[in-house]
Amino acid sequence: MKKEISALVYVCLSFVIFISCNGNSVISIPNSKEGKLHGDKELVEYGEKVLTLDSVSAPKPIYMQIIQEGGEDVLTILNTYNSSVYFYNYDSGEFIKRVSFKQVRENEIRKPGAYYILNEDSVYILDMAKMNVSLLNLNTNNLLDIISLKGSEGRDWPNKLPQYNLFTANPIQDIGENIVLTGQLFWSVPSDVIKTFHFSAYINKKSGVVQFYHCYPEELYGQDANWEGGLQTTPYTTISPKGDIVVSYPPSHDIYLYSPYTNGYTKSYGGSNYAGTISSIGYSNKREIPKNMIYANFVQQDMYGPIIYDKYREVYYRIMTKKVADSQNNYSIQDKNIYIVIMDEEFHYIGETIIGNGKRWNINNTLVTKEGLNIEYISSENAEEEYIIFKVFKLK
Amino acid sequence: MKKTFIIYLLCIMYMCSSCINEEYQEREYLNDVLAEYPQLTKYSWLIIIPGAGCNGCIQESEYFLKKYVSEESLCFVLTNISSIKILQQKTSVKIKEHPNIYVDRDNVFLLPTNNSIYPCIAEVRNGIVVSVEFQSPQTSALHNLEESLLRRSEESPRRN
Repeated sequence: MKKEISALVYVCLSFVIFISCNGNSVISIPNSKEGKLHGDKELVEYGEKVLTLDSVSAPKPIYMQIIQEGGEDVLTILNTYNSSVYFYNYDSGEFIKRVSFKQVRENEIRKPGAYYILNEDSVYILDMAKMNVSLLNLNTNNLLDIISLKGSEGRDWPNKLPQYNLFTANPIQDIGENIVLTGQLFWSVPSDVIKTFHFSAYINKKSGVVQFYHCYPEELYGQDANWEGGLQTTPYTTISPKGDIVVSYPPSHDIYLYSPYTNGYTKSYGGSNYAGTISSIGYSNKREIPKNMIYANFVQQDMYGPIIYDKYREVYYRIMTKKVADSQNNYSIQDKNIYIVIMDEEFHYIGETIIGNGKRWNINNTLVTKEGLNIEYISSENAEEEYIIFKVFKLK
Repeated sequence: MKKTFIIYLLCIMYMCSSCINEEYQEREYLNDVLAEYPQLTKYSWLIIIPGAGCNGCIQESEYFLKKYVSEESLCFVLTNISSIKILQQKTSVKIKEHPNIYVDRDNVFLLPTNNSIYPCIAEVRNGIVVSVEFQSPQTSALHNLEESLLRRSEESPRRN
């Protein structure tokens, strides 16, 4: 009897250890329409844009914005190395000018991460190091305002307020009286803050006052599910023609619609015909989770990425990266094939196109122009980094 | 009963060590990768510089690259680099002119552990990685390497 009790104790202890290493509370999100979607639209590659770079600029810039000047499309590109924005005539590819936003020491922008050109007199620049937004007049290089994104929070502000990883295809948005920076948590969403953590910072253009809105959906990120690492907790945003914020979450086949200045949402199906069930990481010790397990969860599963509204063709493009079936130890996000789901304004599926993998395409630099959908192309012939190259896709 | 307990304890120790032995995992990973790159095994140290991660640590390793690029026992592996052009601007080092700089375009040297954000110094003996250290805010692997290089250069004349 004594032996049996001891054996039982060992079995129970082993079970506890096993659980602590391998986890529980896994959220699984099935794709109810996998293999059942039909559409007659596709994206067809039809041309390219090549911009010549100077000696201190490189391809794969972290941030770009298309603006209109004098009736023409102007592509602006952030150079973090020399803290400048470069302006190119998009149609001709001609370089127009470079504007530096270097400031005097105490106001120096240490690590520019994103910007929004309202006009050249009012440019908002996110400083990732200081976690603030500087408002500059680019023409005079005058600093007009510094807006803190940490507010009055203490050292533990990252647990209460978002951090930002913005790029061309997930940009700063302009909504009425505000510019909106959508950030995220870079670790799993704790249950006790899921209803209070707001990931979008609304900066009032007139007053500079910052207010935070929008919560993670509990059905995706609740139950203390393990979504460590920041890849799976990025809300990608675009603005609908009605002015709602449309959010694509990496693990969800749905898209979520948030009205400005609210915390509620509605949702609509917005998935890929080729995406399967997506699950959170089955490892409960979040602090000690090995990095390769986080990458494996992202690489070995289908995951959604940026969503972009095309005002010229009145469609949405939603990017999905397909799982790498047998990646073993070679966990590379660039190995994932890129699928682009095409939806109409009501989020009805109208088609889907596969363009190849991330070794050829930089989907972070995807933007819409009159010509079509532009995606940065990584060319092996551009080893000297002399150009930035876009392939332009037309909707057919 | 005592025997069973000891066996059980050993099992737990084994499970724990397999959970936490990151250093062993990193060495094994690099040895697997090096097996595919025999040309890099002739160096005594690999300095693996990631393109993204701990900014200050990476800047220190870039400074180290600039200072010691002509040191023949070192091989600098640039992994997950977003731009060689900008790195050359920052360091004033022409990558193509130095055979001991390897540009890892497929990111195979990017470690699959949480330390991948730090520059890694791997000591290689007889083609095998024998130790792995990181340049991080808490650890000064580059300083240690610099001291090893200085000791070596001081010892060299004595040998002659």
